[in-house]
Amino acid sequence: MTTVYTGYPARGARAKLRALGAPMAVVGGLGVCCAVVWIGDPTTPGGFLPVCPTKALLGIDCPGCGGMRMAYSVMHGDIPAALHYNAVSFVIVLLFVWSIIAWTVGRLRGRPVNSWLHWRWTPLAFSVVFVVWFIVRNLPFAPFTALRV
Amino acid sequence: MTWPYPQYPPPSGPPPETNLVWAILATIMCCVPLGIVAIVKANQVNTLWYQGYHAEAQRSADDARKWAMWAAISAAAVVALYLLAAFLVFVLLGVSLWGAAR
Repeated sequence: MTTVYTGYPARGARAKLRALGAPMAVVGGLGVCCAVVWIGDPTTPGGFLPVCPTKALLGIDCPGCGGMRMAYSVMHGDIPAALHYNAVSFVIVLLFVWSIIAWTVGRLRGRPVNSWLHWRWTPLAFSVVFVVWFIVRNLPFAPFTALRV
Repeated sequence: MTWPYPQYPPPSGPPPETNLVWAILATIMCCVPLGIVAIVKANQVNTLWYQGYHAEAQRSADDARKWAMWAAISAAAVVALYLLAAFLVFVLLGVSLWGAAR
């Protein structure tokens, strides 16, 4: 398998297109997901978008619960609502925007560009945030009950 | 990539791709327990690499990808079962309603 990481920047339309192919596929896929969420409107109950299986089966909020409502709110410019639905996922979306840009730039330059995904403490920090967020938003007393969605 | 002298770690050289991105995506969007295993495996890659354990680092990176893949497969299976169940309920409801209407 050949790689786009040749050590030299992509020159010419053909090489550029090859470098941009995978990022464009990812952005396209994300666009389809966004369109589905926009049409489905998860903030209004009873739509065709399914409830998170964890919530449906166990009745608890998983770390990702509220993610689709968060995305819907972001797309409608309602950042406070987005933070209410899932603040951690909102931050993670921003982080992934960063890493997608870094990945795309790296492919065009022919040399990988590192982002937060390559930091040494990222796996540990992500795990800690994930577990703490999971616990905190299910605590049955104030002020944590406000985190329920 | 295998290094011919594992007991003498070279001072430089980039570590292998940790596949952390797949581990994180699998944890968020798919199966949480399997995704956590993938994150732990991805976490080991750089540590092992800078300690000179190159083959082990590569194996951890491969394991991280494998666990993330299984997380995605299990999530896909759950979604498929969900859709199947929804479809069956829909069909049964339709049949019974149709029977009642006759």
